Amino acid sequence: MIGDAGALRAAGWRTRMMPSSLAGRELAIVSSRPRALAIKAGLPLALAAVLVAGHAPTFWAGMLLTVLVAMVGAVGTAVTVSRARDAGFLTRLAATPGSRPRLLAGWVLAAAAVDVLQLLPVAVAAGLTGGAGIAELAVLVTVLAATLVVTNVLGSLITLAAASAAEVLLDVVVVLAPLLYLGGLFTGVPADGWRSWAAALDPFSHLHSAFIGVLGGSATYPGTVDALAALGAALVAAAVLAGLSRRILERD
Amino acid sequence: MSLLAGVAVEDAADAPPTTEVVVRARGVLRRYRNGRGVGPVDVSLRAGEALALMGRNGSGKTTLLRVLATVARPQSGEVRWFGGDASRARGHLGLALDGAMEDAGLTGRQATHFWCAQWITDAAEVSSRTDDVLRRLGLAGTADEPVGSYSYGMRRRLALAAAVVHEPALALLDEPTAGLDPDGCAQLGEMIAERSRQGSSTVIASNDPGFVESVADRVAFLDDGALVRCASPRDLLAALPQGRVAEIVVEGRCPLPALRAVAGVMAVSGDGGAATVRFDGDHTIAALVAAADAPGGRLRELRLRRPDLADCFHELTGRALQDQP
Repeated sequence: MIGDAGALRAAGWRTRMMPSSLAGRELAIVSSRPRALAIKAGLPLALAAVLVAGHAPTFWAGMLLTVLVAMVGAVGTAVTVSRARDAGFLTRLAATPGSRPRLLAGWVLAAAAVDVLQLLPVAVAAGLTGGAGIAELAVLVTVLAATLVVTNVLGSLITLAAASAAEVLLDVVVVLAPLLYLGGLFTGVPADGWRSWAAALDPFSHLHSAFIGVLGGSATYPGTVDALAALGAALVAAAVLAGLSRRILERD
Repeated sequence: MSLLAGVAVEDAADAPPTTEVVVRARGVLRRYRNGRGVGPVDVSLRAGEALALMGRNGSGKTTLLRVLATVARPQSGEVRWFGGDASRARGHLGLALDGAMEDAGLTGRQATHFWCAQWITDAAEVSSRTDDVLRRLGLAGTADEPVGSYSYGMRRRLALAAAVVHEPALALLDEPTAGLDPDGCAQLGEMIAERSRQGSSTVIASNDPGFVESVADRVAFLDDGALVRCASPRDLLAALPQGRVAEIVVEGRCPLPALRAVAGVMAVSGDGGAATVRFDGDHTIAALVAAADAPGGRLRELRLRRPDLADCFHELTGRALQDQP
């Protein structure tokens, strides 16, 4: 009975949250499913624990964690946006008076913030394992947040090409695979040539580098370069999202 | 020549100049690659008016509704809302699509509050309007339960609540009676009537003849994307010849030629085991029973009713409004 009363009280504060924005709506939905959030946060942490316990080489551990971040951000948003389109939510949203770029940006940023919460324990665990300092950890969290903005934007853009929420999963893999490859995740970043430039512009390459850094390995780029490049990529992604917001909302 | 040829087409383009025109669409064309869609059509709507769009599946009702809702752009033609463009319109619009509300992670109150807050910034007013619309649509008792636990009919009511909670000057409702029980239909009808009394306009896309007749000031029949006729339900029904309608269901195939041959029968439509027969004269009923019970088909059901808007549609287009089961 005590448990029931506690559950009711917990449900009470959650149902009293009255969302006025898409970010508030996202928060209300997340808080209505605390168990789902705990599972979403626990699974990446479990993967990180396995990598650490297995003494995985920092390059490969960083690669796996970067792929995980890419998938969490892109798949989550792509499926959410696709399902919202199928349910008519985007169409109803398009008929509201708010600015389309602001509406969509608010939604994607809120989704990215939830993803950061979900993956923050992984970043902290990686930092603790590698004996990283505050500065390296701060770089990783910055790059992680910026990369999640990029992946969430990618996820919403991918829905423009997908016919359904089921199809969007395949499309996410098709888009992410070359980006991860160009980021040097599977091969390392070449010292020169066009691929070195491609990697320098690729936020996944910088997240990989930041993970390697906090895990105690030799980072591909200096921390400030990683942070600035990832933030730049997030800004470009936000601009692209703003430019395509009308098409995302109004697509049949 | 159509029996309805004498019906005056009441388009708001001909409305008295003192009447405020809320929406005026001229030559609007929006077609998809498969040829479906709508247009070119001219449609207008006055303040306080309820306009119903009726037509077969794929006739362009929803496409026209989306154009009027500013979420689909016409390939040609022009739409003006409140004398302005789409960005001006969105401040006064409410839209309910034909699906159910899917905000499964929210309560009914949270979902409605969210939509209301897209138009109204004052938090107290948003709460007050949310409570009011949930009460009027019979959702007050379940407002704090998760939408995921709602039945389909309740989620349909919630979608309607979200469309009108901010009391828009123009509400666009796609198949609003789908999934609603009789009480829900009555509440919706009263809500539309109240909106009209307050000077707000409503466009509904619906193939529910009884509901449309009870709420609509004008009915626009769409067929293959073309506007076939737009007039008041009273004028449309008055233009039909006198008589009654028999809905006939038989086991096996319905003997349509035999039904057409019965004296007093004016029109027959149907497919498979069902037919709709418009006729005149009391003696015709016995002959219809005999014809429907002929070898090859056994009469299961015969229901008499007065002619409705679906019969008007059939009279105008030669096609049934909805396919027979």
